[in-house]
Order: sequence, then structure tokens, then C-alpha cells
Amino acid sequence: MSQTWTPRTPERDAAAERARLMRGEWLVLISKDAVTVTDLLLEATKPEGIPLRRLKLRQVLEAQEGWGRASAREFLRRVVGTLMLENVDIDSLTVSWLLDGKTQGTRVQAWLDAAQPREVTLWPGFPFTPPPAAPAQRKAAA
Amino acid sequence: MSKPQIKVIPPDPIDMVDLPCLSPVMGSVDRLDPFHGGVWRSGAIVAWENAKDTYARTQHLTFPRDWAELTQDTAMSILLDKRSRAALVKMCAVLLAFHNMTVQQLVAFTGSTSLTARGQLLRAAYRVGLVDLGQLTSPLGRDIKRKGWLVRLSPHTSKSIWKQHIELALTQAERAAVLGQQPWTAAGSHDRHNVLVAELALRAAESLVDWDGQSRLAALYGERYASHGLLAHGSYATQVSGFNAERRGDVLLVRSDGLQIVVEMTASVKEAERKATHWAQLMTNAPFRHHPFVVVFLSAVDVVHGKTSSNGPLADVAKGVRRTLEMNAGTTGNGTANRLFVADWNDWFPGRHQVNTAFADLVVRRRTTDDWEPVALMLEEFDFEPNDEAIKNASVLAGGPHWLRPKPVDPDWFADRLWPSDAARDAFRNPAPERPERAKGRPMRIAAKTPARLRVGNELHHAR
Repeated sequence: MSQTWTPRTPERDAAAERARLMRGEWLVLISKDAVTVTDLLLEATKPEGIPLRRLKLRQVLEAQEGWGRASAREFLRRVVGTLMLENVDIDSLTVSWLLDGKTQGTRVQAWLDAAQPREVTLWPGFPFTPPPAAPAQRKAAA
Repeated sequence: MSKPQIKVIPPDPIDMVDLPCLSPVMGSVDRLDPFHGGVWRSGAIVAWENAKDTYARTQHLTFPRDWAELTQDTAMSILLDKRSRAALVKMCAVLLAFHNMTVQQLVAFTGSTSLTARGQLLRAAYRVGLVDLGQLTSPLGRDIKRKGWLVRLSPHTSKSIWKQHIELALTQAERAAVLGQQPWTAAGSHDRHNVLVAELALRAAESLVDWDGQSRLAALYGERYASHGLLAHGSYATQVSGFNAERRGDVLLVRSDGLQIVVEMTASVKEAERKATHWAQLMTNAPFRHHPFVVVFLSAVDVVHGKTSSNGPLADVAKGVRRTLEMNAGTTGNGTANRLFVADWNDWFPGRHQVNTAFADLVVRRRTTDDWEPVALMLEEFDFEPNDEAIKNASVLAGGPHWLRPKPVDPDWFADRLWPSDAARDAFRNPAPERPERAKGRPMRIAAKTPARLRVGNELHHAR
């Protein structure tokens, strides 16, 4: 595939600087606990959040208070395991990979499952009582 | 000689070889008969081996090479390998539900041949301390030695292995398949009792078959789910003083109309009376109409070694139940006598690898005013509000015979609840194109598909 080289211009430099700044700001906000990782991912789905897609997933996870490289890798390994992918370099995975439009949100689903608390949340009286009424989001899906 | 108190159900034994068996591997004929096989010569308790103890004294023991050379790290990687996952989930779920059983029974429950005594997965599970192994012994009975391996979740180490390693490698749907809504509990004891319960569960799931070869049971739950708290959930019974949600029956068979048949295996008259009293009190306050469960007291006394009166074991158990019924008759429309039954192992399984025709309809005995009459539990009409929750929800759990697990009604139950909101789901499914100028033509249409491992019952199709 041929790659076209785009010449540097002052406008392009300024845009790249703005994008870098945006990414930095979001990481700081995550570390200050002002926003969650899910907020960042949601922002990245919007047209104005596209610069965030260049962030590495590991970087995003590590920005959280109390997270380190090992825990971030462990988390990503679970995501990749849930998707049953092989030979994936988990350090190079980006937000863009997670949000890939072709996957229709399946990678995000695996991500959200890995972020679930460990306790299984069924309902009281399971398995002999009916499940509680479905939340609003389910009705819309049906 | 005292006069017999109980009418005998006419024996009409059929060899199990001649009957259809729904279990695809390790059917009832291939397994050791734990009642008539003469396997409890040394008593009802087995000596268990835990890997921690065994490997600490390897210098004194001679080990088969494939066991001795297995390191803990290798074992853990075998256990967490993606090819083992389905079998691992099923093994944990089955052992949590039934506590301990023979390895043959475990293979039948899970359908996984890697869980045989020579299988790699069972060896790995033992090496890391997830399960303990035991063995039935007989000095000359080679058959018993070969087939008599027992397995249970290690009461000492299995919980920490689960918490630190296994749980983390599973998705929410898989964790739910193992645990249901309850914590991890590994209490191992009552070896003979639990092996017999597991055998009864398997035989019921295998051989209660209708004319077109379908199982007549709709679902089957282990001891974990046959608890007073769950069966009487939401009734007044849970508020009565003295109610203990943790009292449990041994196995729960669910008929296709939703009737729940709890089997309580018991050996002595005292025990039967105590248990029956608790059940009767529960039944009084949990009306049958809304809590359609009945309880069968199954006497399974080893006539050679067990202590019974001259009336025989069944008469002893029946005496306990009769006394209870005299004290707790229930109310009109919710009579306890119509919910508490007695049966004997020999009524259903008269000999080694034999089944009585009475088992095909689960014939038990019901107390009338002054006698016992036979009742076929699979045919009897009961008056209750039909309710199929116990059947639908069984699909979430992996802790029963694998061929009996119903198809999930809502395979995406867990996956759909992951999205933080409705808007978030749509945003994640259709993120803004990175280069809108290049995204021409029709938008791509791919059906949104949940990742397989997030679906309910995903381990069913990966038997190994």
C-alpha cells in the first residue's frame, strides 16, 4: 500500500499540538479521578474525541490511581482472552483498536466484562424466582 | 418377628444394559455401582489426599512418573489453558453442587474425558490444590481399585486457588455458571452419602426417558440449590423463628411442569425424624400452590454394615416421617402428607446395575391415615400454579448433568447488562468515522454479535 507523505504546515503542527494536549489532559483527569476510563472511551467515539484514539490502552489503565503496569497488562490479557485472540501484543493495543467500527462494539463488551466486579450479580431467590424487570436499555434493544 | 409395616413395591428388575441411557460418556453401566458394588467395605469415609501434603513427602513415596514430574506452574497453565476452560467450569460447578463423587461420575456429569483419573486436567487440578483425590479400596478387587477414584474440592486450598487464579480468568457468564448467586463453599465429608446422591442424580437424568428418547426431567439441581432458603423464597416460612435458610435437601429433580422433587437421603430413624420435622415446618408456611416442592426421604442403608432395627431400614425411616406427619399435618389444601414421601434405594435399584420399573415413574410411598400407598411422582397430578422459572434458570448453571442443561432463554443476559447506558451502547457500536471524507457509500452492516465467552452456556459446546 502506498503511503502519501503530507508536508508539514503551521496549521497541521498546531492541530497535532492540540491533539497531544487533549490526550495529556484526559490522562491527568483520569489520574485525578475526575473522569472514568469509560468516559474517555465514550468521548473517543465522538468526532471531537478522535485524537484520543491514539492513546495506548495500557497507558489509559495505568493513569488510574492504584494501577501499575502489571495490573494493566493483566486486565488487557483478560480482554484478549475473552475475545479468544492469539498472538496479540497487548502493549500496542490502542483505544482505536478497542472502538474499531467493524467489530460492532464486541471488543468494548469484552472490556466492560473484564471491568465487572467479581461477585456474580444475579437476583435474590435465583434460580427459582423470575428475574427482576429488565432495565430501560434492554427494552430499547428488544 | 415383628410384622412388616410397609408394603413392598413389587420388584421388576431390568438390567441397565438393556435400557436407553442419555449420558454420552461413562453411562451407568460403565460406572461402579456404589450401592450394590460392595465398595464401602472400609466404612463410609474415604482417606483423602491433598497435593500439598502428598508433594511434601515425595521422598518417601513412589510416584507414577507423570504425576511426580508435574510442577505447580505447568499444572496451573494446563488448568487455565483455553482448551480446558469449558471442562474446568463444569468441573468446579458440579463439585460445588454435589461436594464429592467418584471420578467416573464427574466424567459422566461433565462429559469431559480429560477429567478421568488418567486425564491431564484432573491431574493438574490436583497438583495445584483445587481438588483432593481419594480411593475406594479392596485388597483383591481390581475393578474397585481401578474405577474407585474419588474427587472433591479441597476444603483447605480450593477457595484460594479459585479466588487468586481461576475466577480472574473467567467471564461473568462463566463465573455465574459455577457459582450461581452463592459464595464458594467446599465442605467435603459424608463420602458414601454424597457418592450415592450423585449416582441417583445421574441415573435419574440418564434413564427417566419418554417414548421419543427425551428426558422426562426438565432440570436437575445439586444440593447447593435444594436449600430451604431458595425453595421457600418470598414465603412466610422465611420469617418464622427457627428458620434456617442453609438447611438443604440432597438433590432436586424438576418435572417438566415445574414440580420440584427434593430427595433427602437418610440412614437413621432419628435423623429422618429431625429432617422431616424441619421440612414439614417449612411446608406449612410455604404453600404448595406457589412453592411446588415435595420431599422424598430415600433410605439408603448398607444392610450389611448399617445399624437398623429388625423391621429394616425403610421401616425405620418411614417411622420417623410418620411421627412427623402426626405432629405437623399442615392445612387443608396444603397437607404435609401430600408432600412428604418415603422410598428405599432397593425399590428403585434392586441389584447391581439393575433398575426397577418403579423407578421409571419414581414410585414412592405416601402416608394415608393408617397405611402407606404407592404414588408415581412422575405421573401424579398436583395442584399448583405452573411455573417454569426453575427450568429456564437452570440454563445459567453448569452444575448438573451436561445433557440435561436447557438451552438458554436469553443467552445475552450478562452481555446486555454490561453497557453503562442505552446511548453508550449505540455510541460504542457505531463510533464516528476517523476520516469522514473517506467513509463513502453505504455504511457497513454487520450484525452485532456478542463475544462467545460472554454468552450464557458457552462452555456447553466445548467439551473436551
